[in-house]
Amino acid sequence: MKVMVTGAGGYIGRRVVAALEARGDDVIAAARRPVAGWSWYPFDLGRPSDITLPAGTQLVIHLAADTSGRGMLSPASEIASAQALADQSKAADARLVFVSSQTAREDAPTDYGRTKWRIERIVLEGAGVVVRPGQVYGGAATGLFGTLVGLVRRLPLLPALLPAPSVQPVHVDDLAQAIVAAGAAMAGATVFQVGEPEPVSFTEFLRAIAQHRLRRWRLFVPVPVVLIELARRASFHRVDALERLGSLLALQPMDTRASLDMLGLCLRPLAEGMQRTHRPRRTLLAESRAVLRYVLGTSPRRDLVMRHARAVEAVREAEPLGLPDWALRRPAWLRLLESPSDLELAWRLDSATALAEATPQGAALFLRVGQPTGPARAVLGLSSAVLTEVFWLCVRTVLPRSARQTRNARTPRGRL
Amino acid sequence: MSADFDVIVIGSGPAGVSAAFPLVQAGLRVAMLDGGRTQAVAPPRADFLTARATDPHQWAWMIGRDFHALRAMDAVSPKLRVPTQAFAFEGFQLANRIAATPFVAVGSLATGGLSNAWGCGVARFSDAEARMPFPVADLGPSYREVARRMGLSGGGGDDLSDYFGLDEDCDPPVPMDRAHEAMWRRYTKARTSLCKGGFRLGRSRVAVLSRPREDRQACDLAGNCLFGCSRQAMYSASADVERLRAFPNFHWLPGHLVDSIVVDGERTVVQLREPSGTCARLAARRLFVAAGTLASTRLVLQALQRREPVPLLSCPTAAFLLWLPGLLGQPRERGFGLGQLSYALQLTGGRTAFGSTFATTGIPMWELARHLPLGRSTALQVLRDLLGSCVVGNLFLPGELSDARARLDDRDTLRIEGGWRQADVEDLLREARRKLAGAYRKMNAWMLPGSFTPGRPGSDIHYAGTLPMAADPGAGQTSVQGEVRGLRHVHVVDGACLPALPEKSHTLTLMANADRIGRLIAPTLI
Repeated sequence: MKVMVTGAGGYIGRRVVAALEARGDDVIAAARRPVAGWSWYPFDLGRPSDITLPAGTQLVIHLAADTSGRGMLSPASEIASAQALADQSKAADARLVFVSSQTAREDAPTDYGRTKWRIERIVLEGAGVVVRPGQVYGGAATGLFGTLVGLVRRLPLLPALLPAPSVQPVHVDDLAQAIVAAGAAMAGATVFQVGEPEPVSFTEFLRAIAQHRLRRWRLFVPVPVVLIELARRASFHRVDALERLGSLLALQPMDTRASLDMLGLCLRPLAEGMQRTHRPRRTLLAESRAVLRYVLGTSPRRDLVMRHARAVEAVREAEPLGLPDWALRRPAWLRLLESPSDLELAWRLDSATALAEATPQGAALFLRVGQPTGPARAVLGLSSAVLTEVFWLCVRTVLPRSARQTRNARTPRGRL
Repeated sequence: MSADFDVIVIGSGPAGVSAAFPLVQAGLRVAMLDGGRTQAVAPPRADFLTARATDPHQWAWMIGRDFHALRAMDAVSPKLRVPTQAFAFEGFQLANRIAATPFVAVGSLATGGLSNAWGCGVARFSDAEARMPFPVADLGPSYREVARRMGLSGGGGDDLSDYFGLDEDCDPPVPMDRAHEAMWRRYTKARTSLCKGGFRLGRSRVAVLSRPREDRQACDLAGNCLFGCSRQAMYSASADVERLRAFPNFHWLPGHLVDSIVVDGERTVVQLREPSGTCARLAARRLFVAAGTLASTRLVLQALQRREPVPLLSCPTAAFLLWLPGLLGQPRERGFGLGQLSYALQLTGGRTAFGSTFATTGIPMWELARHLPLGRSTALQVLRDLLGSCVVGNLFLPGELSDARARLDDRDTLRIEGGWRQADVEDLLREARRKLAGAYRKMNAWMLPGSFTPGRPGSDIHYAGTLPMAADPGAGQTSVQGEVRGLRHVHVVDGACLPALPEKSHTLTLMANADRIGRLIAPTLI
């Protein structure tokens, strides 16, 4: 299916594109700037009159929004852009999925929430569907989630608001699945509410970031909400954080069960979702990138990384290897983990070599097709290979065995 | 009750088509059944180096969109991992109820059988090698007829002319690449001393066109041999099936799997499953079994309800890598991907080893990298600088060293067990490695240490001798006409009826023998 995703380069957009690609869709990333490795289509919310739909588009996922909280775009411009998308989707008989917000309300305290509400009306009138996510978290620490992770990382003391506002967390990959499923759902003019059915307190959410994502202990200091409200009113200028807190305090709980049922989704638990390596697919991609980089000696293309991860899933049905972080960051050091007894790592390397070889990049590197050759270069290359191997053998002999195992070989995490 | 056909041929591989031609040409009504599998993944149309450098989707034919090559990682030969050739091997054991341990049992349900993915090696057998219950001279006309149909190349007179015995049937050889040219030059200089040591070198005789023929094009050195030749320069029996279909008295029934055969008075009846899955029966005056040695053996033993083990011949094999230091750093070049030079090596006990050498360019490097005792990254670095100056060689020993048996079990599954006469084979391989390393060293080609690797039993895919021909056939044997003792009018025409298996490629001989049997039987049915 040909799918256009607006805001494809954003926190949620990237995961939606990955989910669509995994399903085999033909994805067009509509964004202001090209997104590396993806088909790009220029799209700017600030220029509604320029917005067009690529020919043959069957599904439009509208994620682009002004999330700065500073009113960089006028609400009118965002609404006009949504209207343009809705009109063109209707004309092209394409389905429109709009990713809204739990804050969307006619009388929302922020422009953001009110704009979302107005766009929802436009989409629903055109028989499109709306997805309202709860508190999105997980994956790369960007977007609002990134802000919260940064806050928890920096501050040793964290506020525990009293009374505590509630959030309904949804992992970014679960949300991506929900959005993709909403695009395929038979229902029209529907609002899908996606988030944990049982709300958790905002304090609990921050504690999960500290405990499961950052593995740090944090002290929570009770802060009456009334003080926040006073501070907001007393400030002469808009303060982003206070505005956002105000929006948080005004959140209305969502009944998400029916939507999750309709979309066939089961959300992962918060503690699991917060883990940095919570998601086999993401971890697999990171590992595939590392082993491919190790065999190629240079960065693999994104499609090659995806292909290797798919091969591991399809052929091995295997869990991620649990490569230590240092090997993921510096794949050359994978040499330390190679051993005749680690058959699974050997398979990952075999498959990475095979898939990397079967690319024009691999042909240039392995066959030297189109590359300069000559006896001197060959002698240099061979000498360099021998020296490198001797170096690693020396390093291996001085390292304890425990440092030379993948994590799924039950090496204690703390020793890596 | 009349028969549906004069002859039913089970199998459309090299033996099946060879037997069918004389029958069809005699005007008999012939039906040919086969598994009907055809190529699902197309080989590249550009030459190998161009396709590798430019085709972003090359992984589809190198690995497979279903990751076929990775799924078949443990298979014994690169051939079995190639997605474009997967159709030639898939589903064989299950459909034919064949189980093997530790033996490697390979067969085909494809139209054209195993000739869809073979090394194209051809040779004539001598009387001593063939051990047929008739003079090998009787095969002469059939050898010529089959050779004419296939199109052979490699002749021209060299030290292996007598060994192959095919020069008058061969077109000139396909041009050699730089590495083989270099070895050939050195051989001609050191020839006398090498021959004295029992080593003879010559051009490989292969069923590959060096000149265009009918609708097939000559080899253009594209180098895609492992993945399949889009020019059809390599012989495949599927091309002969197409030619047979031009005869109105020939009926090709693809997608038919034979369950069993029954002799019913003057007719033989084949019970089979049609492509739709329904069971059916076809009757003929004669039945030619050419389903490939293993599948043919199961059908015949099942029809006989014979459960004693029968011997199975298969050639012990090995592979090795030769390095030509004089070519270090040379760029990769287009070239022929099958055997370019072949050798015959005398070993103790009057035995001979045979093998050929191949360019390494068309072989995926990952096939070799994983066997090197180095870190993967280093292995790849070494290979990319070294492999351009290497050739890979193979080695076959005579099939008499087999110690394998095939037995029909109580559930009518053919169980293959065993391998080789281990001690003899180990001694001979050791001797062959030493002598080959010495001979090639004189040709400035160094056998890389640790590269000499014996193959697993059965990995040669030269199977023969389960139902051998004999002048006075006993139980489980076949007559000079391939007729099974105890199964009247059922003729085994493939490798199963060969009484012996030398180290040479046996395909041409089993084809010639099938042609001979077809010629013998045709007049009796007119």
